Amino acid sequence: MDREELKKIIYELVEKSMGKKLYKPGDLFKKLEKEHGVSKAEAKAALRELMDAGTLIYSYKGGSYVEIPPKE
Amino acid sequence: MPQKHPTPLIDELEKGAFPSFVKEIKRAAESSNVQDNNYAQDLLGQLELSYKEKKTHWKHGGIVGVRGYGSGVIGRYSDIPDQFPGVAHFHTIRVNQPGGFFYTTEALREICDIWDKYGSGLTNMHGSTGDIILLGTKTDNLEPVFAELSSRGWDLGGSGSAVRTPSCCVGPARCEWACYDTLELTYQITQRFQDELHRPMFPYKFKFKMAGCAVDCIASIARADMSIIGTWKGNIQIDQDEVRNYAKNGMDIQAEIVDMCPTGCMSWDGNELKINDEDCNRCMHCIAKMTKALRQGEEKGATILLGSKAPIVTGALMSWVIVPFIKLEPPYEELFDLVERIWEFWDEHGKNRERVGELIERMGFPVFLKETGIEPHPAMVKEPRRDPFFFWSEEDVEK
Repeated sequence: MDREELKKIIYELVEKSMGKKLYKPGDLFKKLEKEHGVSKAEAKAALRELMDAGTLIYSYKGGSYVEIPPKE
Repeated sequence: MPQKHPTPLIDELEKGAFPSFVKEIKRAAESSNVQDNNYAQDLLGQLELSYKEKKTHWKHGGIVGVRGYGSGVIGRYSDIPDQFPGVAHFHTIRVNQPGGFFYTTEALREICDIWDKYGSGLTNMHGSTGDIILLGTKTDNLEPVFAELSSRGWDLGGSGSAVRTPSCCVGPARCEWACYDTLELTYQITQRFQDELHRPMFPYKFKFKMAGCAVDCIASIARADMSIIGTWKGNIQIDQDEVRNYAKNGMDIQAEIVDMCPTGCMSWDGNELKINDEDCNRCMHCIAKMTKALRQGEEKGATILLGSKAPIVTGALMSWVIVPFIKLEPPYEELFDLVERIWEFWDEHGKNRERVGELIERMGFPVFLKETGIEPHPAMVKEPRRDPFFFWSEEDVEK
């Protein structure tokens, strides 16, 4: 899958789950593999780009999760 | 700057025989080297209040960090920021320590100068995982302090559901008992698993600790998910003349060595020390007591153990042997491959906040061995009366 398309899917997954479910990176990788046939390595690379760009961030809430940065 | 808050309760902690953290906080509160003394000033105030009310005023976690990293910063906030604005944010930064904790004084000054500029001036040297812990800064300072640390060759350590900063004993740099190069392996693990260290992707934390021998100065067997402990093959080398010298100089070899051997594999007739090496479990007690007389066997390597942790969810666990002996030499591909297979298993089955040792206990050792492709070995028997490879089915029990 194209990297940009994959990044969009990851972002949308996180965005749609806001307020309902927090995704751990591992949960995202499993979901992407199951639903889109994306390998873990591809998913990791895409998530890393999203993190490096600040589009998504890590949070710690009794474990590490992926979230959209708060709007301030 | 004079002390802002009276602290009669925590002042008591300065009166004991031991070094006092209260004294150090007061020094930071008054130090002209620290750019912002309000951190330490208000820390004293909030601490005093906590002692008075017998409850914490800290909140942990949340969304803090530096861009791209999910590890290395632990968010901490005061729940009464109006009363103590200096500690409204009091985040901790973990900095990856050098292997074996070797520093030049220049490096230590550099770290302290950076922290005096951006933080409270307070540090923990070192945290329980091994990192250099820089205590207390505000969110706005995180990126600048990270940039300054990075520009001087430092990097952040691990936190959250990630590989935690690998740590090791002093190894061959200072110790003749190191059975492999703990410093080199720690460096190589740190480099190899950068992504896993900085970007949390596991069910929970994963710690590596490298000990050069079974004396285990880094306490890996009790607190590392993967303990890599130096050992040897072959017979303990004995210099009988030196053994007799120890006896002549007052050592009670029967009581201090032979009777202390956990496997009872030694005997002493007053002239000669005998060791049945087949029964030796390589605990290092005798070698550590008679350094001139006994030496490890010549073929050296390490035992890999898995699964220890300090208690959080289901209580303390000690590490479990998974590889009885491995030659540990660069490029360590055999070890890295094993680590990745273990992570796959953990990733697939682990629940949130479940350490790998807890997962193995939950699913059973045979499942772990099967899924990771590790060959069973008698040395994996953790407790002699509990065979990990054999299970009775309900039908068998009925018979």
